[in-house]
Amino acid sequence: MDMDWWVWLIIVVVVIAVLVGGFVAVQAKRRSGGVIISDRNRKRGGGA
Amino acid sequence: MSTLIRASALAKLPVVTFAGEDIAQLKDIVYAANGGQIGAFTLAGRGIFAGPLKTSLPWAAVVGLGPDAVIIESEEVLQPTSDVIGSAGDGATGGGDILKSEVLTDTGTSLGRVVDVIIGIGGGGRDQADVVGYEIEPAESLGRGKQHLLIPLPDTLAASGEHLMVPASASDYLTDDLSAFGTAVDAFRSQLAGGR
Amino acid sequence: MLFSQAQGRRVVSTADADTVGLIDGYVIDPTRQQVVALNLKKTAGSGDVLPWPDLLAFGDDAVTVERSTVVVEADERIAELSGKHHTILRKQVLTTSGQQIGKVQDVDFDPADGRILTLILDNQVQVAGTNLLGVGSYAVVVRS
Repeated sequence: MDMDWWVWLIIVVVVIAVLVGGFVAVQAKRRSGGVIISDRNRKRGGGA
Repeated sequence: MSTLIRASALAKLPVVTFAGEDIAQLKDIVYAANGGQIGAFTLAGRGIFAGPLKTSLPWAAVVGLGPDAVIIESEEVLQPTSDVIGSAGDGATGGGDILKSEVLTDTGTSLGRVVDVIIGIGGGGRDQADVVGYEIEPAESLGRGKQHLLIPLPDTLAASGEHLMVPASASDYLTDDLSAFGTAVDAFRSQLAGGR
Repeated sequence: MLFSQAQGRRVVSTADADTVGLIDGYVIDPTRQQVVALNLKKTAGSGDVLPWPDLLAFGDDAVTVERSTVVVEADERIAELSGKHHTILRKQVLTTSGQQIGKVQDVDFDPADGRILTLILDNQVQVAGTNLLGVGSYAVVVRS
């Protein structure tokens, strides 16, 4: 009743692929840039 | 005339010290709501395993910014991120990432959503960098098709993480050509100054 | 004199006229814009570094030293400067305005005192040695 060895092989490969893909996606998100408005210097009528 | 570049061209530029070490790469561009002046860059580490850094690079410490790298004197010029951008980083109050924000005119028309930001470097006597325009994906109501458009900004602007306000007359200076955009910004700003 | 011209040149001790080694590389201190030592190959002992102050002369056919014992093992500073991260040849050159202007192909130095005169890049661009700021793992940085 044991499953064939290759079934397990495929499961392991798929799990690794998902983990690697997830890691790459998370890293891309963490490292990606944006444009942020700083509200620290928000003053009115500072003269342009 | 100052050099115009897209914010997306700056993302991931390596930050290199005088000693020739690439200690970080650019992540976010932090700019002031009034004046559009770039105040700092947040940083991420180099290499795929590195995440965002806890230190940021104040604009005043940038020695040179070119197509291939940002040059700084040494690692010591970096400042803790919290000192540099205050609360803007968490996106809670007014600040936050403006990419995908909606651009509204002061007459309440939506022009579209921001896909990139145009930065002008130098040209103003002392070397400084300002946000001079937005690149937008035009709203359908504008009837300008799908092609991205560039909006010049006034010297002062109101912006939140949600909405970016521009004067209605900015829509007269929409262009799709970055090389002609510098002239559009100048024309737009002098028109605003004249109307005052 | 160019690095490439002096590569493989004999180093001869004047005390016994023996060849103590052949020039295999150059150790640069970029902050002083100086060659501070030579790396040698085919040396007799375990040392393979010849500090610049121990040179008698950098001649056209040979480099002379007083005796073979001036060839030593790298001290901490020279070891740091001669690491792979600090080699200058074939490394990209960035100006302080953030522009890549080429790769270092050769270096012209003053054989009298080891001063770096000119960096010669692969695209024939030349950079004065006095503009050299640093040599690191990522790039050679020069003043623009």
